[in-house]
Amino acid sequence: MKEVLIQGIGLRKYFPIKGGISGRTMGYVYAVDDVNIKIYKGETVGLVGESGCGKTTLGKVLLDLIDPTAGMLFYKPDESLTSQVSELYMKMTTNKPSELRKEERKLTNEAKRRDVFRNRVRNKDFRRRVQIVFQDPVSSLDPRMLVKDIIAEPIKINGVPTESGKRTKLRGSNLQNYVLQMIGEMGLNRDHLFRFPHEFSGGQRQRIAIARAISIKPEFIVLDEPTSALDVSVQAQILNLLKELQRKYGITYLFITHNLAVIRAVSDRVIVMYLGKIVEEARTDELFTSPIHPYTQALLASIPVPDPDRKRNRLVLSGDVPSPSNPPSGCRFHTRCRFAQEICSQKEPVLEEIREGHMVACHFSKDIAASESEINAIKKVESAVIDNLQDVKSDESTRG
Amino acid sequence: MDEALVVRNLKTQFFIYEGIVKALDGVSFTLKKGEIFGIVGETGCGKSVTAYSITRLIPDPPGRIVEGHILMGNLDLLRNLSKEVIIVTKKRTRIRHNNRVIKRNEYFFNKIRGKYISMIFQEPMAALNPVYTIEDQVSETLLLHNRTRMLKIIKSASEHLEELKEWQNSGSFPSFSGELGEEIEKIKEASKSKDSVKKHQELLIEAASKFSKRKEKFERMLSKSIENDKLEDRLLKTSDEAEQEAIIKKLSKETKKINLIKITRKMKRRSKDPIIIEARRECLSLLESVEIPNPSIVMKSFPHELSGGMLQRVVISIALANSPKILIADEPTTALDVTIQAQILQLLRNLQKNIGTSIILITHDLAVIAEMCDRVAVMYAGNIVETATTSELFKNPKHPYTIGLLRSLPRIDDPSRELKTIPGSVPNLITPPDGCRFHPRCPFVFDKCKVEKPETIEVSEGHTVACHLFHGKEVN
Repeated sequence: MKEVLIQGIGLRKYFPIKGGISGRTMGYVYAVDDVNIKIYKGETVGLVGESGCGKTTLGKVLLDLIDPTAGMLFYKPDESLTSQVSELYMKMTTNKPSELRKEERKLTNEAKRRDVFRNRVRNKDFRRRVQIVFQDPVSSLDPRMLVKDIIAEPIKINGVPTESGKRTKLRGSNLQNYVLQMIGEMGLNRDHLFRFPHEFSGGQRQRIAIARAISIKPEFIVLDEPTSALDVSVQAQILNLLKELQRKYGITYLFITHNLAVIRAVSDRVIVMYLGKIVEEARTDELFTSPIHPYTQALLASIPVPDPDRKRNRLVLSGDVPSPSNPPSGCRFHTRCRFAQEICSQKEPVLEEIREGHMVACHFSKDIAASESEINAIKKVESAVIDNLQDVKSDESTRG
Repeated sequence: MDEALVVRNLKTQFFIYEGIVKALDGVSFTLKKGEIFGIVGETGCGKSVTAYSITRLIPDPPGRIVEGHILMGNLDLLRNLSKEVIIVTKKRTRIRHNNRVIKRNEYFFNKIRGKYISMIFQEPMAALNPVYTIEDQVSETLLLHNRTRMLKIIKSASEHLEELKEWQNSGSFPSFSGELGEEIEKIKEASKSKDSVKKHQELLIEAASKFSKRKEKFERMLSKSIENDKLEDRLLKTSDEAEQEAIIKKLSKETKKINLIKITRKMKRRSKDPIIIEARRECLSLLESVEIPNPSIVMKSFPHELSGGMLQRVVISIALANSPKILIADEPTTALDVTIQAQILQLLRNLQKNIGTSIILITHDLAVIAEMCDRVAVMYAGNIVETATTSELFKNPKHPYTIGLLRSLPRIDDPSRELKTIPGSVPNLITPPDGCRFHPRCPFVFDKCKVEKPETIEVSEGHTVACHLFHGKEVN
């Protein structure tokens, strides 16, 4: 059994919309709405979804970079505690922050003590173990700091974990050597240390941002679209670098991106989000070969494949993503779904496990899964027949 | 003749404080009629500069097209290029702009842009003017370039006014011949509901009745715009340069009077003008053709009220308003999500089939190229390094850069593949490497690469490469 590193339960982040002369709260943008997420040690979790679906917000909530409206976050939790807490959160159906706060008072003191959001000591310890790499390296590096200072800053504040488990703050030549070693791993050299961020190309800047994140040897890194601002050839360099670092230090990644091809290349498990909710969660191979939620299916079908001979019948989704401030009732995807029926607009589907490690939030997940396996079986037979035919033909041609 | 556009040895440079950025270093390619031609490359390789050079939208200063030919039919769009600047050498060499020639070229290009060559930009939000409604912006290109057709339709509608009125509330049309008949066929095809047909009828009748009230004036307008159209046709067909020059002089006098913003202002004031009503109807059917839901509501809204995908549809409808010969799409889907990207690409493909426009599709996404294009050019640091049909390029890439690019691509259908990288990064174009500009990053580099710029060589039919590794017939 793999060890759970981070578990978020009932995570919600509602951004208030202020309006009017007095700045009254007019409503909320439901950026992340009742998300339960488990991240195991040493794995790479991909988080995909369209823009505005709450991917980045979820990533930031998981690092406690923004205060959540409700929810709990545990670092290396006990199973008994988390099951108890999730039961309580399952019962919360309201989406008003004040009522949520009332409900959360029912939580046990034990749970509150273990929660990263509420326990200050735990929080400080937790933040030293996690890091983030942002999308745009131009704005995430301080333009007035030298590269050496950028990389040394987190070490000066947090120290580096030693073998005994304690953190030591490095100084002087020790620090310098350590920074040199870090930057060497990123494929940069001594000359680069005494330059400013603007003197580097996009790929190099992203390397510096990664070096800064890695420098305190974190256990968990949120990669928030680390390669979307880069060209493909540079993107490949960065992805390989990240893989290499994971192998070396055993870091756990949460890889947020909208690029499904990248997700497939790097992640072990994929979570698909739509309008603030998780709609499907599965191992990468399984998700890409047999997606079940209609949204995932459409998402996969809409990615162009760099192979001109492969002309597929595309499943083009009609319409736009609805506004997260006024999400559709029931299943949030029902306005664009091809299987939508009456129940979809009334009842909200729950995230259910249909196979081992494959969770889907859809009323018809079982039906789709069944029909999908049928279709797959038919396809297999078809392809076998075609292969046979081709064999026969090639035989004939060689004979002829 | 099956070439829509021929670009020869295009050189664009930017004159900035740090030096001269040689953004394009002799780009040549041919766009065939009715094809989708893709241009791929990394950031800063000159894809967009190529597009902007073709439409002459390079801001001057700092940028200038230094050399080259862009042939549309027999007409060289850059024919006055050398006259645009005067080089003065007294004590030190200085460049003086010849404003008269530049202005005339500008007037002339106002005729070309939007009518013969149009463009879709990357950021739909930035491409539209935030203070005008969608209707105003779509109508603008119609009013500038498509007067003849619109006037003809209203004229024939005014002749059949009684018949039209009879059918007004039925939600269908009687059949006519000529321009009006064709237009009605179009409406029938595009409109999905009876209400929208009724809206079309209403607008058509309104325009026609206005037309018949001041018939003489509009007849005069029509005959004048027909005359202009004939001149333009002649301009594109003739190969006599002196004649071309004369026609351009005549046409630029006309365009001088047209001020883009004035037109829209006038439009607001005189919305009773039949042409403006007709433009509104045309705008409605254009928005329908790009599959915008509720076009009559969208028409009256401002750009900030629409989503990115919707705006890009509006931009496409503007670009295709006058059925241009050439459409340049500069990263049309980069700012959009995958599901919206799929919608937009499908739309572009369908429209291309219907109208028969040749498209230059500029993107950094090889997957989009594979799905959309017939032929591809790969650009690197201001040069086209390889041109081939799409399937040939993906199966049999020749240039080391293309090979590296294809290998560095994460594939959704083949996850186990290791990502190979191209070492280094794109060179600075102020001081580009000598010889082949790719040589510092090339795994097969040898001495000749560092000194001599490779010629473009045809390795097999329709497949050209600029690399010293290959031998074959040189092409210009």
